[in-house]
Amino acid sequence: MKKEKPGIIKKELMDKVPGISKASKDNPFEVPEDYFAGLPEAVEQLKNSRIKKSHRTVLGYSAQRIMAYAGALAILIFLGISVLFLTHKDGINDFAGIDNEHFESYFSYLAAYDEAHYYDILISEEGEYLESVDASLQMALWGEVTEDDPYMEYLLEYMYLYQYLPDDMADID
Amino acid sequence: MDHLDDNELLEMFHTGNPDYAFNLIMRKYQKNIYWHVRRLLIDHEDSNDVVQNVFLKVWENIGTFRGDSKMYTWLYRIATNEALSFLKKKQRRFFIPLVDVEAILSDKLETDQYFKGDEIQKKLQKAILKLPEKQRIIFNLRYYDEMKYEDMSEILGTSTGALKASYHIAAKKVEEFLIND
Repeated sequence: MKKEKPGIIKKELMDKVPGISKASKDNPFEVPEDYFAGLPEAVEQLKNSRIKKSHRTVLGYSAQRIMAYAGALAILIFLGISVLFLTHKDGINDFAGIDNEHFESYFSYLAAYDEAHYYDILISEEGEYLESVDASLQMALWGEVTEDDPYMEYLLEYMYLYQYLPDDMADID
Repeated sequence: MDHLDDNELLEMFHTGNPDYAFNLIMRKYQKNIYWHVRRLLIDHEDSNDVVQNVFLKVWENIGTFRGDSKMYTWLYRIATNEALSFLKKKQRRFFIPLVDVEAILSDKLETDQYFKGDEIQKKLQKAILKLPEKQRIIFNLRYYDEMKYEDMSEILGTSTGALKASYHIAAKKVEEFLIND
């Protein structure tokens, strides 16, 4: 650091503000003993602790980012499952593309026709009753039930109406 | 290694041993920076905290310092900003009006165990504390550090003409205070 040429500051003061020259220009402040000897070391320690802290912070941020991604993924999965579940519950799409609503009306019809059969289906596990419906459909499609069976007749009518019937079965009625 | 100039220290930092170069820079400028901060903050403990922060900032930013300005003016600029930020933080934290900050610093002079000046020096310090912030910095840099106006201009981002005017106004105010009070 280059200082102003010696005497310039003093001359400047003497010329313009001589009153100040009464005060000594010596440094009036002191520091604790060996303060300057220890200052670089204190800064080094602070610097090293800051570096360690910043490394921890970087790891912390990485972990936080991973957790954030995992959280977002979990939320997406939860939302997906919820939407799927609600969709099924609302009867938009279900077994073999036939709406739940239509199955429900079919089962109501069955109940009206054969209360015992209707209850059998409902009492069973969900998988089982779906299988039983599937079996009924198979039976209807391959002619193992007679056309005068009223609930099968309803089912075939329904399938014809909604075009679920294979082409070769279209003339069943 | 004490003979190395700023450019050589910077080169050592960038190409050789940054830790060692930084340590040499600290040892070279710690006193100048400390006394500059101390004259602004008066209190040793506050000054110590600020000086440590100054050198941490230097460490964090020296990699981007390309020597467009002189290294010591760059250090002084960081120190000045840190000291002023410290005062502002203190003022905000304790809801102290600016005038009261100066009064508090003046009171510190009375109780500071590390102030060894005589009555005239104490009066001079109190007069300097009455100056507006920027005039105070300018007065200290010129009066105590005997710094050239060109270097002060690099530190404070003010033209040399404005600095000369400010210094003379500040010196007049200090003189008035010394004579009249």
